[in-house]
Amino acid sequence: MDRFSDLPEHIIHHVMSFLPTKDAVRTSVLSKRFRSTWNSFPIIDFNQTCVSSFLRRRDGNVKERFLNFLSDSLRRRAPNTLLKKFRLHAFVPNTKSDNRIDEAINYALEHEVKELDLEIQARKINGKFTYKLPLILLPVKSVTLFKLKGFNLENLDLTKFSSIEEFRLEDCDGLKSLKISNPQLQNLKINSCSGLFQIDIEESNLKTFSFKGKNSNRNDQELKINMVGAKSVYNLELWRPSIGSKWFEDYASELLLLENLKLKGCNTLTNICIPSPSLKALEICECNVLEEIEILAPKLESFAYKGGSRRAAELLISDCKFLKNLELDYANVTDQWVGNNVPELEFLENLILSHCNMLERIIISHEQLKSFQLIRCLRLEEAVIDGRNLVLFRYNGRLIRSLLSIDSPGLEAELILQINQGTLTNADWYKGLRDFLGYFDHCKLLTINCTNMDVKYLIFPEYQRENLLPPLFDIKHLKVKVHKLPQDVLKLVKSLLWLSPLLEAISIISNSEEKTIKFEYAKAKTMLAMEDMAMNLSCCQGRIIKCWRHCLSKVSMAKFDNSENERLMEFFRREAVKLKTIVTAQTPSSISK
Amino acid sequence: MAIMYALKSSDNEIFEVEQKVIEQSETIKKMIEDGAATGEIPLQVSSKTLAKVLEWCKQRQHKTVENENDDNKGKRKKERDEDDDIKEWENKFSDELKADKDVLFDLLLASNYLDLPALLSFLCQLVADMVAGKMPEEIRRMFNIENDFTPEEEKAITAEHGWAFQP
Repeated sequence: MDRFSDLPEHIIHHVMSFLPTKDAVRTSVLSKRFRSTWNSFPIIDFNQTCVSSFLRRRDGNVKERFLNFLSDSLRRRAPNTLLKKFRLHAFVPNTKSDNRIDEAINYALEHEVKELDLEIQARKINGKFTYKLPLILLPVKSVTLFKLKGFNLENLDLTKFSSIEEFRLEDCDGLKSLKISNPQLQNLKINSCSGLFQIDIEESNLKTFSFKGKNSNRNDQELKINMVGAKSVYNLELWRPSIGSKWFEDYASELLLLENLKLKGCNTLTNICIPSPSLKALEICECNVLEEIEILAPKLESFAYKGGSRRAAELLISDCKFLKNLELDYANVTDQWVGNNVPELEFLENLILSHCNMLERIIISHEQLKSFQLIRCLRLEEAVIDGRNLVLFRYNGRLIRSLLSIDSPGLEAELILQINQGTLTNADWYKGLRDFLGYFDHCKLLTINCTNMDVKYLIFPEYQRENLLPPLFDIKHLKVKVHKLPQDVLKLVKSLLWLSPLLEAISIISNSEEKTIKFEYAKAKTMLAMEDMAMNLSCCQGRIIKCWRHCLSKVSMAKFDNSENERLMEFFRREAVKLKTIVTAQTPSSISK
Repeated sequence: MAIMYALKSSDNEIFEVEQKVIEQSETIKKMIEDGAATGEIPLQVSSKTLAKVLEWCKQRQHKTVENENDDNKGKRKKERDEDDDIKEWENKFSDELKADKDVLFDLLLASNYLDLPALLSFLCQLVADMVAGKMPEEIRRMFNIENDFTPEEEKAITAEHGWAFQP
């Protein structure tokens, strides 16, 4: 025999387990040896979506043919082979049950399947799934993972599954209450099971519990989740549960091991107090009627609050001394809140304030802060930021008056510019922009993101350049992100070189393509007026620091197209008196002057 | 000083190996714990295959030790580089095995016998990658598998799973 066929069967099965079902099936035709190996393969995967395009080409009803194929395949299997995984995803005609499916499920259970994954796709009747999970009479000791989707679960009796570790329900109907009394159960996920109003966790070893309700319905009955037997939970995620504030009082404080808590769309919750000794990460999203959140979690490291648009809650976080990450989106925080809370958070490293529309003037002075993002806080007029360890600053919004005082050599800043609404004259815009950019002169890298506006607003007209002082003498690397490149790239480059007259690199990024120009300079950037006169340079008169025209010696350009290259080369040759070398991505060219 | 063990291959070659490296093999670990491993540990693996197995084990050992010693500083970039290095090493290792299938199958059997789950999975994945997307005739040719079906039998089996034989 060949070496492959010679391998012990379990190794061939191991190889097959890495194959997509289609390829695994194909091995059955290789030889008699592989045929029998296939028939004892402990993984069965029937997915109608894979098969249906083929079945459709033949006569007859696809659903029927698939179900026949299912029974035929099982009949051919070697007797007494135990199953590791059984997956069945079937589209069924609109019946409440079908022998072939029920037999297949029983087959899996009889062959002591460990992972059972069943999904039925059927048309809903009166908005409900009607395919009934067959009644299981005997205890099921083998199943550790059980997934159900699209079933009517009137017959479900979870207590029969004595070894279950993970249980996932999605889009199931017919279950009014679920009782968990499964000491091995560690992971429970319930997603969109309408009609389910009571979950009693009496006994479990639950580590992760995730509940996602159906899209909220106002007259939903309140959900009762009894978590008496879920004391070991450390991940808890509740989406759109209709739970009231009292539930939190009753249960949340009992979950002493809870580390991660996510609440989303809890539209019946008005006040929550989260006393939790182990909690490390908390996320509260779109809980529209929340009025007050009090967090008594001394170990909390990350807190994200994303308000819905309707109302914003009062946030009491003064107990969270060790908070490292704080993200507030549509939060009801005031200047005073920021002033009172942020300095108290000694260990804060990442701060995001977005859409906090009550903010007008904020002062943030923080030693540990590494990253700060200030995104579209519409009424913000002034921000003073002092952070010597700040390495990242992102700003998205209008030009504002006063922004930064940063003594942080490693700072990389990104400014996402928005055109001011209202009656702003061009002259005001350019003057405002010049002043605004000036705050970022000492950054290591400045990114100007113009993807939300026409790039022409970054191109300072000639008369503006003559009247204003360039704002960015200190910056070495300037990046510009644009939605669409301007027709004349040279204009943009000219404007950038005016903004920042001694750049070492410019990057222009559009559609993830990055064009770059690098600059090298001849010698000290100060020059005598005499020299200027000798070289016929009229710019920078009376200034101590001179611009690139006086000392640029080498330009390297990459990723520009031919015509752009030519225009840029011509420009640099004409303007830079000491230019010796221009390198384009293709060929270096020397200049003789 | 690291504790060394002497492994003896089926063709009587001796390999001196650090305990940590060789304890990845559950089989050998158990032999050591049972006290059966005084002096040379005799193994039913040829010297050529055993050398390959040890090459794998040393690489794995190297990887875990470095990860333990890492501090947080600059870890990300370093990790990325290391991942690249490991990828490159694994690719080279795979290419050699693909070129010499006898070594591949010897290694599969050895990883099974020595109970090296990570190596066994790696090799099974490698074989699966060689098989995936190919039609039966190509797979037979690649591994010299003899088709012992009559044409009628083959036709019948293909018909059962017709969908899987669409290209």
